[in-house]
Amino acid sequence: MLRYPHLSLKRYFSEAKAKDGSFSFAVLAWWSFLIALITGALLAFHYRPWGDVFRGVSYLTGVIPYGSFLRTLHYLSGQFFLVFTLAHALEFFWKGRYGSAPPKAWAKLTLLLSVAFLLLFTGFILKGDKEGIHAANVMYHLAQEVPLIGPGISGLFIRPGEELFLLPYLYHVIILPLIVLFFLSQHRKRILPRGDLGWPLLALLSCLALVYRIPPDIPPHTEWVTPTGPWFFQGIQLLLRYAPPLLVGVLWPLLPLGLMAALPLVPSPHMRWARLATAGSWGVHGMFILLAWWLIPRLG
Amino acid sequence: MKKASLVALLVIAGVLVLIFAKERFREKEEGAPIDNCTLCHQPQGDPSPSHPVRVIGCSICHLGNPFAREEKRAHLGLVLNPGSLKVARLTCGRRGCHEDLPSRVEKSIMATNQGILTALQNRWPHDQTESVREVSQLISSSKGRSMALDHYRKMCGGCHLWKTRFRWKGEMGRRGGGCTNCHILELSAPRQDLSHKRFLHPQLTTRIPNENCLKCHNRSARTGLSYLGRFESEGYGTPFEGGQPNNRRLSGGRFYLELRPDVHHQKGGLACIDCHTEQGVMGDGNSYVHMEEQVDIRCKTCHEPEVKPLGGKEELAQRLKRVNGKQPPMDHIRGILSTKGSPLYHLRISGDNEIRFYRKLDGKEIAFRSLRKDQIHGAPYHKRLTCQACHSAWMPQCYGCHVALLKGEGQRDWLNGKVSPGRWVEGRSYLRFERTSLGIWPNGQIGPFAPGCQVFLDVFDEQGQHETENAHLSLTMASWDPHTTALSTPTCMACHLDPKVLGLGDGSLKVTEHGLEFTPLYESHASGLGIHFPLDAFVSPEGLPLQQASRKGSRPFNLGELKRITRVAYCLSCHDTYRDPIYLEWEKNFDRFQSGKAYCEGLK
Repeated sequence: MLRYPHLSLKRYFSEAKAKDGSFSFAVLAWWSFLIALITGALLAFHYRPWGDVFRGVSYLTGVIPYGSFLRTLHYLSGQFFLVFTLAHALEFFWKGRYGSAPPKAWAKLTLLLSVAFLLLFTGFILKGDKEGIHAANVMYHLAQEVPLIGPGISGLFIRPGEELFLLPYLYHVIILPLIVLFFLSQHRKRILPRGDLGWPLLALLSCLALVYRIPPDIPPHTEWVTPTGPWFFQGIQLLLRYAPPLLVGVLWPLLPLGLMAALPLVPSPHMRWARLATAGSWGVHGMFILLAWWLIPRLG
Repeated sequence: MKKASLVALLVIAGVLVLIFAKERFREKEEGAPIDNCTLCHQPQGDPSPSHPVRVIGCSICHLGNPFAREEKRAHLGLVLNPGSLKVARLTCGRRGCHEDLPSRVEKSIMATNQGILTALQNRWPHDQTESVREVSQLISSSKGRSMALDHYRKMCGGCHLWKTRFRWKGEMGRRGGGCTNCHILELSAPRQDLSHKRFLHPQLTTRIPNENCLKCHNRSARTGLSYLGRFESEGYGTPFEGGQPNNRRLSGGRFYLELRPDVHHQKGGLACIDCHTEQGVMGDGNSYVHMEEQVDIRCKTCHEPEVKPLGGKEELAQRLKRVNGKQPPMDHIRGILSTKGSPLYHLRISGDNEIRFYRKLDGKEIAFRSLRKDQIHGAPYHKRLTCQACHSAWMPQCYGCHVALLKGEGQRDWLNGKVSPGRWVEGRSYLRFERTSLGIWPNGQIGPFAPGCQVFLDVFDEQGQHETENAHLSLTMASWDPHTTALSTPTCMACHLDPKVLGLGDGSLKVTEHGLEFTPLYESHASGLGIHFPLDAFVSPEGLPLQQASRKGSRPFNLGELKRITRVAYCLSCHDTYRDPIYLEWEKNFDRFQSGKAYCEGLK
C-alpha cells in the first residue's frame, strides 16, 4: 500500500472496515454516487435532452465554465460507483453473506447492482453522440425482443425519433437515482457521518478529473467509426453479432444477476453448484468483455 | 477532523484553484460565439454574404465536434466538403437552411446519371439481373460488372454529383462534390494548407459561372462548348503558335476551333443559368430518365411567354431574387413561370406590359425580343418544326465511336477509385461541325439529330485475341438542342433539298418521278466499317430507318414525309419566300398544279 508522510491509506482502509469485517466498498460506492449526484445536478442546469443533443453536450463540455471538469468528474464518479457496487456485491457473494443476511437485503443488493448498470447505460445514451444514439437503438430493440410484453414495454424505456433521449434522461436523473437512494438508505446511518473515506475519494477523483480525458464524443453522422457500447456492454455487443438478440441481449445479461439473486433460495446441498454457476457466469461475461475490447475494433 | 480528511480537503482546494486558473485563461481565448473552430482556423472573408462565419460558425457546415478544444476531438466527423451529397442532408440541407434541396438534387439527372445508365444498359451487352437505375446503387455495391456497367464505371462514372471532389487532379478532380460542384467559384480559392491559421475560404455563389457548367458539359453532346462557339477539333493544334500547338485547348489535351457562338451568348452575354432554372438543374423531387424531362424551359418560355399572376410562387420568386443579389427590386405580382411552375424572377413585366430581361450574373438589363407572330413563325405547314430545327446554326457531330475492351489490361473504376481488370479505349471515325439532320422528336415535332452514339464495340481477351462473339454494333442518332441558336436561318432549299438535313447523309440527291435517288459521299463499307450505309445516314432514300433513335417515339422521316418535303423543292427555286402566295394554301395549290389546273411560269 502506498505511503505518504501524513497519510497511510492502508490504515484508513482497515479503519474503514465495517464492524462486520467487510471492505468499505459500500461506503466508497455511496460517496461515488453522491459525487455523481451533485456533479450531475450541476450539469443538468445546461443539459437539454431534446434538439441537437450532441451539440448541446459539446457546448456543455467545451464552452460552459467548468463544464469539462464537471463532466469528467461526473463520468469518473459514475464509473467508480458501478465498480464499487460490483465489488461490494462480489465480496458479499465470495463471503457467502447471502446466507446470513436477510433475503430482502440480498435482493436489494442485487437490484442495486442492476440499477447501477442501467444508470451508466442511460448516462452513456445521454452523450447524444453516435455511440449514444446507437446504444439507445440497441436498448429499444432489445426491449422489443422480450416475448409478449416486449413491444408494449419498450416504449416505457425509450421512444425512437424526436424524443429519443427524453425517457433515458428521466430514468437517469430521477427514477434510477431515487431507486439507488432507496437501496442505499439502509447504510445511511453508518456511512454518511464518515467523511474519512469520502474526502480522500473526492480528492482522488478531482485530481483524476484534471488529467483524465473522457472518451471522445463521436458526431452522429460519422461513418468510419464503429460505435461501441459502454465497457460493461461490449461483450454483449460482440455476441449480438452472432446470436439471437433475445438470447444474448436479454437473457444472457440477466443470468448472472438472476443466479446471484436466487442464491438465498438454493438448498444447501446444491449451493456449491449454484455458486459455481454464478461465478462462472460473471467470469464468462468478463471474458467476453475482454475479448470484445480486442475483437470489435478489428471486426469493424 | 482526521488528518487524511484535512489532506484531502487541501488537495481538493488545490484542484479548485487550478480549475479556476484554467477557466480564466480560457476566457481570454478568441473562440467564436458559435463554435471553437476559429481558435485555430480564421478564414479571410466569409464563404458568401449569406454564410457569415461570425454568425453561423464553421461546424454548422463542416460538422465535427463544434466546441472541442483539441484537434483530434474537434475533427472527429469533420467534413471538408459540406456540399457532398453523402452529408448534404446534415449540412446544406439541415433544418432551417436548404432543407428541401438535397432530396431534390439526389433525384436530379446530374446525380442519378439515369439517362446514361439507361442508354448503356439498353444498347450495350448487359446482364439484366444487374440492372441499376442510379449511380448511387453502383457506388454502394460491387454490382455492375456487365460490359455496359463496366464501361460506365471506367468511362462515364467520373461525372456525377456523388463523386468526391479533388480525389484526382485537373478537371476530373473539380467535377462532382454535390452542391459545391456548381455553387463554388472554382477560381476563388485554390486549394490551401488549412494548417495555417488564416486562409481563404472558397466562395459560395448562386450566380453560377459558365465555367462550372463547362467542366462537365464539354463532351458527348458538347452543349456547353457549342454555346460558347467552341468546337472540339480533330486535335492537330493548328495553326501553330510560336512553333507550338496553339493554346485553344480543352481538358484531356483536346483542341478547339472558334465558331459562331449561340446568339444568346454572342449578343446578350447570357450565361447558362440565365435560361436554366434552379428547378430545371437541381430537379423537382422526381426522378427522370432523360434530361429533357427534368429541364423546365423551352424557347417559348421566354420568347412567347405566358404572363400570369405569380400567386403562391411570388414568395419563392422574391427569395430567389434576393439570393441572387444582383437583380433589381421586384414589386409586382405578375410574372412568368417555367413549364413546371418555377418563377423566372429575372423576367419582369413592366408597367407598359413590356417584358424586361435581367441577366442573373450581373443584373444588367438586355434587349429582349418576343416571338414575332408573322407569316414565318405562324406558317401552318411548318407548325411541326421546333425552333431548333431552323435556328440551330451548326451541331457538333462525332461519327463512329470505336470502343475496345482490352481484358488483359486494367483501368481505374471512377466509382471506387480502384483499378480492376479490363481497359476501355475509344476512338472515332471523324468529328464534324455541320448543319443538323432533322427527324421526328418524341413529341412528334421536327428537330435536329446527330450521332449519339454509334458504337462499334470490340473485345480482346487476356492474350489480345479478338473475341468475335462479343463484338457489338449499336448505331444511334440522338436528338438534343445543339445550343447554337442563330437569328438567321437556312434558305428554303437548304432544307428541302439537302440530303444531309433530310437524314440521308452527305451526298448527291435527285428527286425524280420514281422517288429519291441518293449517292452518298462516305463509303462506309470501303472504310471497313462493315455496314452498307454512310454513318451520317439516319434513313434510306426508301424511307427505311438505318439507325435507331435515342428516344422512344423519335425516328427519321419516313418515305411519305421525305416525299412531301422534297416535292416543295420543285417550287422553291422560284417561290423562295414565305410571303409567296402559293404557300398560303400550299396543299390546294400543289394539287392544282399537279392536275394541270395551275399555270407555272417556271415550267413554261
